[in-house]
Amino acid sequence: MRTKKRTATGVKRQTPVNIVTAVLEGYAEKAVFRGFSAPSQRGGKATYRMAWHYDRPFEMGLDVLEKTLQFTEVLPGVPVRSAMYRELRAFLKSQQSPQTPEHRRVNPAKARVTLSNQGGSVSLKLTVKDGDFEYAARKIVHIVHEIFMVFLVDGPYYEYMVQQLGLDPDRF
Amino acid sequence: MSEKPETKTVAGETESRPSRRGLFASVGAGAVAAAIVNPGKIFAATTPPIPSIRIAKDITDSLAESTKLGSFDAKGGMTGAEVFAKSCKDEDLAALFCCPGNYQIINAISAAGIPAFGGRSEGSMASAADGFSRCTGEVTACSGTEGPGFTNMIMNIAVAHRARTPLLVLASNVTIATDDREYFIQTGYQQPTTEGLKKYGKRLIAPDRIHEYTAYAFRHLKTGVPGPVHLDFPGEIYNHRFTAESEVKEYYSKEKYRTESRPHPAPKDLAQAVDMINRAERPVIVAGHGVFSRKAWEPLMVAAEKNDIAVVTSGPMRGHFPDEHRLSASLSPDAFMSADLVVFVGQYSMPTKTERWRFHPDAKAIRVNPTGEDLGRNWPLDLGIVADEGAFLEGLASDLPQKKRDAWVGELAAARQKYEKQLQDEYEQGVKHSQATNTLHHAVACKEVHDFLYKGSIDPKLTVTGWGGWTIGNCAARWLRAYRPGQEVNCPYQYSAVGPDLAMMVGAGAAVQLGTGPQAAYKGAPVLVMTSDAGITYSMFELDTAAKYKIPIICVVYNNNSWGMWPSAVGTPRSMHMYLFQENLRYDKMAEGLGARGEYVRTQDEFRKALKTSYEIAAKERVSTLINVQALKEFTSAKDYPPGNIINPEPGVGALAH
Repeated sequence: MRTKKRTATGVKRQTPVNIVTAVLEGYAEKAVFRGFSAPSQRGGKATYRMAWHYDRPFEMGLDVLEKTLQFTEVLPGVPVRSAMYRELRAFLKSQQSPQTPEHRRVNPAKARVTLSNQGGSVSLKLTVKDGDFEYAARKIVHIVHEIFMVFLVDGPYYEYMVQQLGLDPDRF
Repeated sequence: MSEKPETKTVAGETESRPSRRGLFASVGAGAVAAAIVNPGKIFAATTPPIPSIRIAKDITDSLAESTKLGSFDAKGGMTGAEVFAKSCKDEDLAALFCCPGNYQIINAISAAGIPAFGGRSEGSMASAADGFSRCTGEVTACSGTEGPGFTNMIMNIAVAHRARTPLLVLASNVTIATDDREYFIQTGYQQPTTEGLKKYGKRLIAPDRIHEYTAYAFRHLKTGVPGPVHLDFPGEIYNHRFTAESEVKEYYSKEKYRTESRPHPAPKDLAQAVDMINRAERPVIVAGHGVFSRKAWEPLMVAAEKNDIAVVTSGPMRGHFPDEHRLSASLSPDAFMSADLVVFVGQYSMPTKTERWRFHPDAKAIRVNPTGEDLGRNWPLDLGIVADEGAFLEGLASDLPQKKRDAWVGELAAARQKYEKQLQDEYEQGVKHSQATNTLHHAVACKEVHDFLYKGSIDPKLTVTGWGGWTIGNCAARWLRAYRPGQEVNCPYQYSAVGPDLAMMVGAGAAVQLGTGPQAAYKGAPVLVMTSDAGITYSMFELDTAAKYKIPIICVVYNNNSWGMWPSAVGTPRSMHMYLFQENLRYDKMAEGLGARGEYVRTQDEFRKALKTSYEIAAKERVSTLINVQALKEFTSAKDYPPGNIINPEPGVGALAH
């Protein structure tokens, strides 16, 4: 069980780190994450660790000065020149498209989301455009959740999930 | 693959084989079907003709016998078995499925007039009882003899347990007098064997407490969250004779030993639920098992329509909210992630938040369950309510204000359109694969069944369907529809057992033949099951049971020559042989040997014709057909035959995990 840290006056200071921490703690309390550690932080940077999809460890970095939040390895084993990576980029683009319902969409005035791929390891970065770190923290969690619950499930990625994410092949 | 096997039709076969219609014309008439053998000249004079398959007169005579409920006033009074059977009759036990053994109990139940069916293996009969219950919501029983007959049921009891089926498992259990002596035969400690697989169990040891424990059983079967109840009967129990009612302890009626009272939601909880739903922009009700078993589909409909709440069905059966309804989200998986409030009603098997159920991380959650101990497990709640599902939905139907949510309804419709396009794309790819290989791709087979049952001349609500197997089950779940309560049986629900599918549909078929519960309006209709070559192994002999009781089933067997898990051996080639069968096995021929019809198909056109013929014969003559759909195992590979196997989004159509 998590308890929230308070200042001497009992009021939590609204720093970006505190805001993002509170958002992520909220998800942990709602069992979106199956495990969650308080951040290690230094000089406006914080690193969060959580157990999440497929019980895999995830790591999210927050850089307040750069105004970025980044999941360093959302998906492993996705070659940069693969159809899967192309489809993933298209999926991400659709998340920012007016065709996506507003309540699901990434608001371009508030955030920009990009993918990068290093040796098959796919990272997801969200850049905060208006200083709203609560929105940013929620949105990057939503996007990762949709990648696992929608993109992977709806696409032809059953074999990928078995081989790369450890999906038990009996659990179709 | 290059040689096209001959295709059988009802109208006729090759000259050396008589028509199946001709064969069935003789069924019941006692005629000798000498024509089923090729009258070779060498043996013609000396070999006696092989008799035809037929339903023995003893069977039809037995089924026509009048019922006989035991009485204390009868000569010799009543046996323990008769007292038990009378209590089951009083409790409206819907049916019994069994194999011989536990003789006194099954004989007494049948004599009491409870519909009873005898099959070919105890495990399959347990699944038949499960299937009967899944499409009716009623308590059903299965029975096996002590020892081997009982242990044969274990997998099937486990299946029923995960599906929360109110299954009454009965077994004999030698005698108390011979306990602990390894006394021949079939001795065993049976209650511990079902540990973890039942809601309640008891080995009866005091004859005069037989009614007391029957009351225990039905309290558990008919109250709270359902589940299997296991009773063992040693010989001293079922053979005991009672000559007066006073000799049976606690012998009072069901109105005294259990209650029909149900927990209603606390007014404060109901008010909070109404407020949360009313404030939500995109609420969805997950209508689980409990909505069906409590027959609460009418208040569900009223509540949903009054406030424009989306509804997605889940559980071991579907149909308690019709798929075609504008508020049905069962075919709109892309909209699940948009819901801002999820109301779980009677959802007994709860997923975790990252296990397949694609709801938004910020969605609020209400869960309604008839008992409190499970609220909050797996899925943290904003509001947990202890209430009977029907009582809660009646409360919602009464207290919710009228509200229109056009944007939400539009999003559901758009998501449905997107999902149906995905299915159509998969089908079109399947057509290409089928044509390239001269075999039938699973998506093509499923689309054909879909169009035949729901887009042709048959009332789309008429046919109860079931599905199982891996490749074909996964695909069939996406294509089969439920338009009324009890129309679709989700055979692998939760436990994902391969094999009980056909047996379950024998039970479902029996329920339709009897017109039990929600099947009353569709009494006599055929049922259809789609299963795999791996799955059919476990219960194929129940085609004999279906034929014996004239339960018409169309059984589509997707024959891809392998266990669906064959890709698990790709990295270890020396293991592959363990995953494969002989190729081109003829399940259709085996079905013929069991008194059913057989059809063999490799093409879309052949399958279409086979479906039509099989259905007509099932409807008119109550004769079952097994359609052997020849396929390739490689169709599950996305690399070779895209899209390969697809994981179904959950909940809704295709869901089997929770």
